Amino acid sequence: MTQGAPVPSAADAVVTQATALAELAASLGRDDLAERLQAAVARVRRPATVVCVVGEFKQGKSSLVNSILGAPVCPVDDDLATSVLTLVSHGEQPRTDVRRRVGTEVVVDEIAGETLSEWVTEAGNPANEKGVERVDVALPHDLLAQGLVLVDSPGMGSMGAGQGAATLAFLPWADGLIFVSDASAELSRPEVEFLHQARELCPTVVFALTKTDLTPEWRRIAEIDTDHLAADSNPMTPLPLSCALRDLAFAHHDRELNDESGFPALLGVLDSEVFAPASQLAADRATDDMASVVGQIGAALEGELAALTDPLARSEVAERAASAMERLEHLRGPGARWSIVVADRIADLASQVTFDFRAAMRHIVRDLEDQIELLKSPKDWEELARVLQTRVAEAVTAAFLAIEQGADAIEATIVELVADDLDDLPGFGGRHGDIDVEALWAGKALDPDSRRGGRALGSALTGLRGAQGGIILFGMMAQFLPVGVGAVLLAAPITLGLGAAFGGIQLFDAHKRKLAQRRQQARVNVRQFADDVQFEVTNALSDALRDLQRSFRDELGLRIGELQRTYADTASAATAAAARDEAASAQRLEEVRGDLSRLDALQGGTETGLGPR
Amino acid sequence: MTMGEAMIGDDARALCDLAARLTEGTPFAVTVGELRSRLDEPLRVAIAGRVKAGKSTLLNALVGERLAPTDAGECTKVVTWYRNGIGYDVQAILRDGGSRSLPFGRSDGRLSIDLGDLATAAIERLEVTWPSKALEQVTLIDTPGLASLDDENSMRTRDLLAMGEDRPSDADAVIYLMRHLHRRDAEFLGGFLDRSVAASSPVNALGVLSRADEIGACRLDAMESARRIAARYQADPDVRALCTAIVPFAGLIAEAGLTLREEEATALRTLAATSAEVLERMLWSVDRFCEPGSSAVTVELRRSLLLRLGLFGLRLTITALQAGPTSTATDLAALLVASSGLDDLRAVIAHHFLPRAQVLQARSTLAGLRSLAKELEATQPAAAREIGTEVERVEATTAAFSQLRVAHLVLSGEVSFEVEERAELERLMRPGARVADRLALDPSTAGDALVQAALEGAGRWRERAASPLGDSALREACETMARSYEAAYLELAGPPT
Repeated sequence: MTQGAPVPSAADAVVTQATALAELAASLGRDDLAERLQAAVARVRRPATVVCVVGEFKQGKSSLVNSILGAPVCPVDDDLATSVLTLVSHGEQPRTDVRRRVGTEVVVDEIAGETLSEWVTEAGNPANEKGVERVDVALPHDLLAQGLVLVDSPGMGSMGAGQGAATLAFLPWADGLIFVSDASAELSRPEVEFLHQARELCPTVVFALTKTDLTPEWRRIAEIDTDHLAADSNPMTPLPLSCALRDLAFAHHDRELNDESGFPALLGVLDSEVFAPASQLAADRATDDMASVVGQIGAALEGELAALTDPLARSEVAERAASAMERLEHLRGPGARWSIVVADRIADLASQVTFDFRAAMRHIVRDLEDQIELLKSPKDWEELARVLQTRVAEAVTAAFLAIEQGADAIEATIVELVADDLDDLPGFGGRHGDIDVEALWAGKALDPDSRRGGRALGSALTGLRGAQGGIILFGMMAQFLPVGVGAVLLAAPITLGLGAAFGGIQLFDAHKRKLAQRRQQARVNVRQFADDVQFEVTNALSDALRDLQRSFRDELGLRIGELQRTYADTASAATAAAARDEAASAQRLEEVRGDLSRLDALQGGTETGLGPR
Repeated sequence: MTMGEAMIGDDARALCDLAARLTEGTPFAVTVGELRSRLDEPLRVAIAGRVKAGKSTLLNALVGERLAPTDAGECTKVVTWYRNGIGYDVQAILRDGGSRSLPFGRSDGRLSIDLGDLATAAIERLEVTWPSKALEQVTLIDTPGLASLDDENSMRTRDLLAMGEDRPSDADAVIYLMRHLHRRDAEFLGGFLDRSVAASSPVNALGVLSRADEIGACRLDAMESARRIAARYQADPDVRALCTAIVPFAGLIAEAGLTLREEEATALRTLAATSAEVLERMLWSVDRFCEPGSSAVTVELRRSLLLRLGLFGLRLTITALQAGPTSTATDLAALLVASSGLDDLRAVIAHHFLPRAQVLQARSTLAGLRSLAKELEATQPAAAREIGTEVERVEATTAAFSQLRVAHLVLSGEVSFEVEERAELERLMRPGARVADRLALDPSTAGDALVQAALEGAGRWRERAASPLGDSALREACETMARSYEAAYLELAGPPT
């Protein structure tokens, strides 16, 4: 696995075919289609997968990330704990970027990797006073080159409450979760509860039992943990791991030690549970891309074939192509129905999502204000802070999920509209003559049931994980989302502002007058906090919607462009056919027939290899 | 000891006698009797913390015997009191008010108690009476872990410490064990401390960074790492609001050091003689250490050594034996104890709890009497009033109490003092310290200079107390500071003639 996982065989077949089809497309001068296929191949080979490493504080999360990669990426120390989300992904050159918030601006600074601990640890950046949203680390690594993005999270349950809620909200967008708990003690109740929730939110959860090198009784602890989880009707088996042995194995180049460390087993699980499904999803999408490409190349070749074999058909082919191009041109313009519908629907979605979010926030604040009156002890107040944090996190997650859901509906409408507009788009006869417009949008062909995730959230989650979301139009959102929600939840003011809202208020004073005054202050703080959150999140939501609209336009523009080229090529082929002498025509005819049979062969392979979809 | 502290016990006793007279013949007489006798017993110190924090191990280390059961899984299910006595005895105090003697035995140095057919749910607590020098000054209370999966266990500890309840705690002070400080630790400590101000204070809580050897991954320098972390916590105002001192402690190492046997030392010596290369690999992981064939020492013996010493203890003793192969069991035991942090822990207990024992106990008694007064309201309103008034009078007029209260206000952050001021307060109110120490002056300082310093301090804080800007709590704190300087002055001036 560290030497590069073998791509599953079904995916292999797709890669071979798509590569061959890309060569054919390129030889026919269709670089645009070839590029589309190459991109699909790249996705199969490198399915982007997000794996989060979570757990309570000081259980060895950063060590685990380092040991997976065999490189000291995340700062590890006996004392210092990670306080900021760190995303580790592939890059040709090592690079570390710190994203932080200065006022309302997001500033990204490249820093030297060795100085990372000054930004991400409690000691270097206590209570995240530097306002770091997240850190992006890029480094060249085989495992990362497969598309893995590792996320090192701050420990849940350190003194600043509420990060657990933020971590949970992040999970619906992760492909896999490694839950870390060390072998020195059995699982605590909060850990068991977290695992229960995590299992509902994330399709693949691995329970890593760390520090087995130090704990004589780790097998007992593993048994006890297994029993606790079974009793919680959440059966799971812990995976024993030792980062120390893994590091020694690297230092001594010792395979046996490596096996003892348990990491090969962990990577095996990631491979079969995370990479393989992601790669399969990418392969399914590539198959749809191939169908679309085969359709277009086939139509162009059939058109040329008709023009070559029947001189009388030449002008008709040229006319049909010209009329198709005209309609496509209109479709591309601002007056097209879909364009207007997208704008309307996005505006509707925006107002609905914002309205719901504001209502949710208003509701939260009102509840909280009521409860402030009833507070009896500082513990109640802390509890209230935690409730606020969790409910805000839920509201933010719900808003982003609503966008995702809305985007799905909008996409379906567009596909329908465009298909309707292009329904009688002329073909050129023959087996390949008709273009299947629906096949242009690969995502449409995916069976929604096969999409992963979202068990707890019902149908709201459409499997928008990593960049493998079934929705091709949504590629950009897919990348935006995990970062978007995560960043919003982990950034100021949700976690930072809470300290200000809840710290420093002593609600429990002997004097009644003072108590009333302080409660008033608490209410003001809660409202201020809610206003800040609303401002931040509303901005993030409108950014997300703008990105969504842009990605719809871009994607549709690309597909229409491809079609236009298909018809333009056919028209010029018809004109060229008229200009050829007999010998040249015969030779060209031979070529076109050859190309068509190559296409047939490829298509046959597609159908028998992967079955009808 | 200041005069106030010497007197506080007598005041509390007098109060109990008054309550005893007033409740004679009623069911409450028993409660009063218990409160009264508590004053003459050793200080009750509860050992609390999350599951598997090492509470029982710490208890065993403090006593120097393996009394409390320890195990990889959660094993303390019942609150257990360990008190000094002439003979050996184990009693189960039952929920229904009865009690029962339990058979017990010792095997392999461990105490094992046979609960027989008793369900743990029926047991209020176990009382182990054991002749031990270590238990002469404190009665130790072992508690089930908090946030345990077994709710019942968590509840028992909460009951004992009377968390969130309007009744006095059974313990006078608490040693709270934490591994890395955790939100739940902070919550728990907060819960312990936030009962009525009179009954709670960071002054009766001590933090222990437990299993300190594991924090540094059992490396030879692990304890230094742990000391550094403890120092950082101690400097953190949030943590200081919960407990005054935090000490790192490797309970397993201490326990092993106190009970190391000659045969174990012999086995360690054999291990240390193994070739350096093989040994290095054996000490890489617990599984490797127990691999058959790698050493002449039997696997069973190696496994028992591992359980007793942990990887850190093994690395420590084996390294010592490699350097000095003649080290005896006594040498190794001393090394283990010295490395464990036990001496520091004992010193901190001696420094923070024992000199205050009278005040802390009196405070528990007063809290008990106050809640008694509340219960009496229905049946004997006059007696209730009388007891209530007397409790208030003692609380208000006893210097030791107001000092404790101010220490609480300042340490818990309710009254904000500058760092130097806080240090001044801690110094000034240090129980049992000499006047010169309390005034932060060299012991050789001349009497006049001491008097001068005491007067200066009193004046300075009086002035601050008079400032119209502060609220009542700050004023109270400043006045108590001033009074403490005045008390120092009075001590210097000698008894009035």
